[in-house]
Amino acid sequence: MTIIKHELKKIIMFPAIIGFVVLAIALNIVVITTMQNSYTDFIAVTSHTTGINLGAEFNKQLAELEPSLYRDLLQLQTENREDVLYGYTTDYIADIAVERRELSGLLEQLMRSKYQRFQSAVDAQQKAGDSMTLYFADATYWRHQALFNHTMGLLLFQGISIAALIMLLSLGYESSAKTDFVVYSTKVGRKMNNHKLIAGTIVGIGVYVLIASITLSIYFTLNPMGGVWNSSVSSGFNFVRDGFIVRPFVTWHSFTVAEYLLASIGISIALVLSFSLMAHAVGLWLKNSYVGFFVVVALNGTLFLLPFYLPTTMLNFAISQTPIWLIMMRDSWFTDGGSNVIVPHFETVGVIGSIVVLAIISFWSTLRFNRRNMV
Amino acid sequence: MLIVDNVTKKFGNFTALQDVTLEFSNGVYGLLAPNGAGKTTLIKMLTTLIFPTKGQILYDGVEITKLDETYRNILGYLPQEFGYYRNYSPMQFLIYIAALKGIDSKTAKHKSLELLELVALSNVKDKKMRKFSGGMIQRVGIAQAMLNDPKILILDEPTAGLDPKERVRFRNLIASLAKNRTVILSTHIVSDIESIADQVIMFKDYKLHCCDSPVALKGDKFDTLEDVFMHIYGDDELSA
Ligand SMILES: Nc1ncnc2c1ncn2[C@@H]1O[C@H](COP(=O)(O)OP(=O)(O)OP(=O)(O)O)[C@@H](O)[C@H]1O
Ligand SMILES: [Mg+2]
Repeated sequence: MTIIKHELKKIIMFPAIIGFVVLAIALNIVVITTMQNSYTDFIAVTSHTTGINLGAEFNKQLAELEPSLYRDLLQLQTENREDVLYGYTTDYIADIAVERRELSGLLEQLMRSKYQRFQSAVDAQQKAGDSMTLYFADATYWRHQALFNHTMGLLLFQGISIAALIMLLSLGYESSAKTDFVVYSTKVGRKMNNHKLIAGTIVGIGVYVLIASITLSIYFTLNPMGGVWNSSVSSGFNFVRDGFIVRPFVTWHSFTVAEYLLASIGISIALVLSFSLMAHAVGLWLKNSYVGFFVVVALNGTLFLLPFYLPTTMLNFAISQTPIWLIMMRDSWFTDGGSNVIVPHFETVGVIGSIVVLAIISFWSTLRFNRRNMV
Repeated sequence: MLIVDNVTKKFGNFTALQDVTLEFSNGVYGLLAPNGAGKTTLIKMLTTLIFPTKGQILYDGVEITKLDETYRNILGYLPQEFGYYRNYSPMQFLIYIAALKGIDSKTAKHKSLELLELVALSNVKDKKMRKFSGGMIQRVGIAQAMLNDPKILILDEPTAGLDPKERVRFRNLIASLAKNRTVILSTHIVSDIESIADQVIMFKDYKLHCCDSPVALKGDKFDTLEDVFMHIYGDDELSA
């Protein structure tokens, strides 16, 4: 425990880390200030009065509000709203995927079975009325993307980069200070790297949580959600752009906007953890932290590009479950994921699988490190 | 008792040490050999930083890598190139190393103060080390090696880069630490060990050349250890 405390202190004192955090928050503030909108602010406030379930009661409450441009606009967008999920079937998404990815055999079977299962998720949320919730009416797509794609995306890239950098700086610390011979010949010895793994992971996740809480606090101060927190993300106003096709945004489980945000933060933290593990494995092979960082970047760049050059096989779909791909697909977390994935709940399967695989690689690298000559 | 049993160390095709057999009990052992003779290679094997290609190193009959932390727990080591955290004070650094040695924080503090006193750094114990002289850093190095009161103290060229006055002080310090433990120190400077070593170990052509007391090495033939050294290695390889 004391060793971990010492390692934590060393990491926190890195000037590079402090600089990175400050820059990240500054950048996020600049980006967030471009996302403000008075119509969605109006919806956030009125939704307290009207509730978020569309229908007669909603219309009545809205009509009783003081007339204004925004009230009229909201009336126009909600009054005769049809339920987009009523009678909606998802087979065609499977058809598109099979055609687009030229799937056959087992892969085609898996893809089709995914959508058969997805159909019941759609039906359940249609019955529960998720699709007839307000979200941000016609501004939903834009607002949803601003938060879950752009803002969460910024946080993710900052989180994983800094987590990887922290782990690599921590592992490279002794060789850059030339203290490695002293450190590895003490009682703790090469087990030092396990303490560094724990300390680096704690700080990596801690820094993500820090940047995310500051950034999101500012985001929600400038863009209040009001009653919309309780709207479903599978609102009929929300949609997915899949190439040229636009289709309803539907999750496997019913999520309110608040729940969806928490779940997304959960997946983000798991991804930050997977980058800590990845950096740990890489750092055990390389002495120089910055070379290590370059290797992590190159590795993920390769993983990202590989599916474009490989034929569509199981391997190809497996690569789409790696951390970098999960990050690229962040705006479809908890949904069917379209033609890029063949398993349901791809983000959960992906992060758990990635963490398990990376933990094994990191453990193996540790064993190898312990048997290596220190030169 | 520490035993080096028929150890060979190769780096790729290059043999740095061949079939070395040695026994260490309490006392001061001086590894005396010119540059590149394999002193550091032996020391890094004794400190588990590198592993023998052939042969084994035993402590009380058990291989040191098997003993793992039990062995490292009785080890104190000052590497040839002693690194330190420039932004730490000697006190902070010793507390840190003490944690790595599994010493509880109360003992660590007490022991660090005691050792800083011993190496005459008490007056600068809270100053950052970045401005320290080479001699001061070496003394921090000795102090960290002594934190766990090691049964085996290994010092790789502890006097390198010190001026003659510092060197004498250092020699006295090492002599004072030698009680009830094994001290192994390497040097290519004869005078460093002539007066304090109980045994002198010399390597030549990557093999153990001799291992005996300074008196026995000199015998009737040589007046000083320096002469022995010159005789073995020739003038051209004298202390760099
Ligand atoms: N990691 C390595 N790879 C290849 N050769 C090595 C390695 N480490 C040491 N050597 C070689 O082994 C020989 C012995 O080196 P070593 O460092 O043990 O000598 P030394 O006696 O400590 O010398 P010095 O007085 O210069 O410190 C040298 O020729 C050196 O070049
Ligand atoms: Mg050496």
